[in-house]
Amino acid sequence: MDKMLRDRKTILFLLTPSLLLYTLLQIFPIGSAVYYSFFEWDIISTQKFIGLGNYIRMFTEDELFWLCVKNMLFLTIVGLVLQQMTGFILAVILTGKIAAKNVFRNVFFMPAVISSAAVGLMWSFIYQPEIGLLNQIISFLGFEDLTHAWLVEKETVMWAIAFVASWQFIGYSMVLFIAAILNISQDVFEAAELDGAVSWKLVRYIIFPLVKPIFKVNSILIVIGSLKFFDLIYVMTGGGPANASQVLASYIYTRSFTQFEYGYGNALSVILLIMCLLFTFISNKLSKDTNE
Amino acid sequence: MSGNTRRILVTVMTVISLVLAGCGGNYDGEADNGNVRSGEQTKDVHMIAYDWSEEGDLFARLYDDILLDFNGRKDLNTTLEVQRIPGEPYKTKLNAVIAANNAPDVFVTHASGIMKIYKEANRIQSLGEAFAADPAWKQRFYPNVLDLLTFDGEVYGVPVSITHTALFYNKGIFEKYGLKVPETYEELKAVSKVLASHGITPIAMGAKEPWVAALISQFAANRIGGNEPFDRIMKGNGTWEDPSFIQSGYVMQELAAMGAFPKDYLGLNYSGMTAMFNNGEAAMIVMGSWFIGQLLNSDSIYRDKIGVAKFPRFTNGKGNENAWLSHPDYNLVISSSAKDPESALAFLKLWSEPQYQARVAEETGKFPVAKTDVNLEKVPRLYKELNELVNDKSDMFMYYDVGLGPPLGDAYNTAIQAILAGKKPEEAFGDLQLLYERHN
Repeated sequence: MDKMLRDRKTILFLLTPSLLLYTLLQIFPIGSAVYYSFFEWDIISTQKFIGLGNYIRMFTEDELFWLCVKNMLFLTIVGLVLQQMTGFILAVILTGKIAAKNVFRNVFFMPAVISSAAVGLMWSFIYQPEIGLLNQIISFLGFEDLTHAWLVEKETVMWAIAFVASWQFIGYSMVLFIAAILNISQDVFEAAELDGAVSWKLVRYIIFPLVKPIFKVNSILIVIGSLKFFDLIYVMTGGGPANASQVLASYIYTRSFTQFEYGYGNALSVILLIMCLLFTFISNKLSKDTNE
Repeated sequence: MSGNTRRILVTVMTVISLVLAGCGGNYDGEADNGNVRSGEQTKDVHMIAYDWSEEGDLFARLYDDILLDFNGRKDLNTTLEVQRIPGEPYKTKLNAVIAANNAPDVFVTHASGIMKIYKEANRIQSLGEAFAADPAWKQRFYPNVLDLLTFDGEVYGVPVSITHTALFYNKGIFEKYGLKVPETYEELKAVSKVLASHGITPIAMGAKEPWVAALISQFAANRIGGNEPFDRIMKGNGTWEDPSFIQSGYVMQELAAMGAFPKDYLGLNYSGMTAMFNNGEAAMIVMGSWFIGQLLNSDSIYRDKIGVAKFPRFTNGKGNENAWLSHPDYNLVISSSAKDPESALAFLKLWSEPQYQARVAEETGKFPVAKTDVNLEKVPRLYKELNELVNDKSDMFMYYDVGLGPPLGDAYNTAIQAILAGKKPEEAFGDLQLLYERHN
């Protein structure tokens, strides 16, 4: 069996179906997107070749594009900070001496399993200005003037969305941290306790340094995930109010399917692809540098 | 649990999830509403029509009756079935099937901009020959209604109804606060101030869907600058930086700043805003006359207390209150790949027949486009009132987004939306001008 699996021909043969599928579903559409990004096309008329026209327009005339990039960076940074911090704190607590640890771990992980569209819908109701839960709680606690139309005011909308995004995926960060903490051998803990370390000192001097690699892994995951965000935004605000919460993915959708500028939409997709590749490359480099 | 039990459990779960995933069901809008009634004989050719009305609303019901008539005809060998895709998805789905060369044989579309795009891409048939062969049919149409469907001298579609945009208001609320229907912009502002002070939303306007806000801004621009600026835009030698457009932007911001629009209007969609008006939470709404049909079909308790008025004029403006924002809002076209163009044409002709045009007015509250004897006893009261107001009309101008078609038309709507969100009108219209130059 082993020998068979090492034989080159067998490997090729077994890989071919997946390779074919991958080419068909990934490489081919990417290639076609790059091709069509040089045209102006509304899919009913004939295509018009305009060379780099779409890209020039994107970088010089389209301020919505820069707003999208700004929003994406915002989501990424807030996600990085919120998810990692909360995930780490939760992981530390849930590897300590608490009853029903497993139950809590499952509960905190559950949002990651729910579909983003469902999460978005649920939080739309919570954020609803008149009857939503959030404003009700704030009023109940007596802070009536702190209520907002969270998803409609452009000052609050990105924070509201970033919070939901983090809420959904805290589970992932937490689980990774838990695994890392559990990996720390008990000897280290015993030695530390012998030296008189109190619990928060344990966290700061023992746990934190030893799970640093996980911060890097999480960062890569969060960054890539944040760049590709679509469903949450589309469901909660549709990119509104007045395009204040657009990100590249939802902007591509609007331009292509609502305004029938497929050529431009393709150009935007190509840029999104390049951004994701760039960030992956940078993240990989950064983590390789400081790994053993 | 033991190894075996676990394996069995996993297998069972996998099978169940695969089955559930497979049994998704087809919710694609491919509603087989069984509209194919061909009497006793089965016909050979089967055609599809796309419609954007909501199933069960007044217009859809009239459509179904006309379909019954058409499908019952013994001299035609074709049946027609309608598929309804209400709202935004209609555009997307229609264009997708057209691009896949799987277009429906008959479909509804806006005139002007988008119809021209279909025509230039050879996706719809010219009706020039059909009209030439049947001059009596052409005579039936009111003057000018075919203008927006005519390109290079040939007509490409058949309008079924025309819509006029007006100011609808809640008489009950106006009486309660002793208010008169505003006839000028100043009066509109004054009325809004009074209403706002009593906690009533003056104008139901939800800008989540950009075209809604554009209704008001288009009126403002026309009242301030007359028809000319936009006519020139349509011809290709106009400019979006014309003062009347920029002023219209400031008007929108002024109305928003004084609280004429609902709180959080940027996130309010069409159904939300019409609900607001129907519930008496808002006193006025600027909307097309299709709204009459929707109002009648709703369960609003204020149905009989709604009045209609011309959109106010702007003192010192070049336009006047007898210029109406109108256009043929429902136009049927025949796809160039239609299986039986002759029968499709027969279906289109049915719509212009006097008895059905009369029913358009009497039952749906939309305005007919062909000569017909509308029984004024049967039409909705609002229709009668609006009809009288429109009789004074001196001018008509069309929706900018219909006239220009995508993407420029949509860009205008989003520009207005951006202005409401705080962008400076000079900037918004400047960017629009850049896009306009790029596309010309």
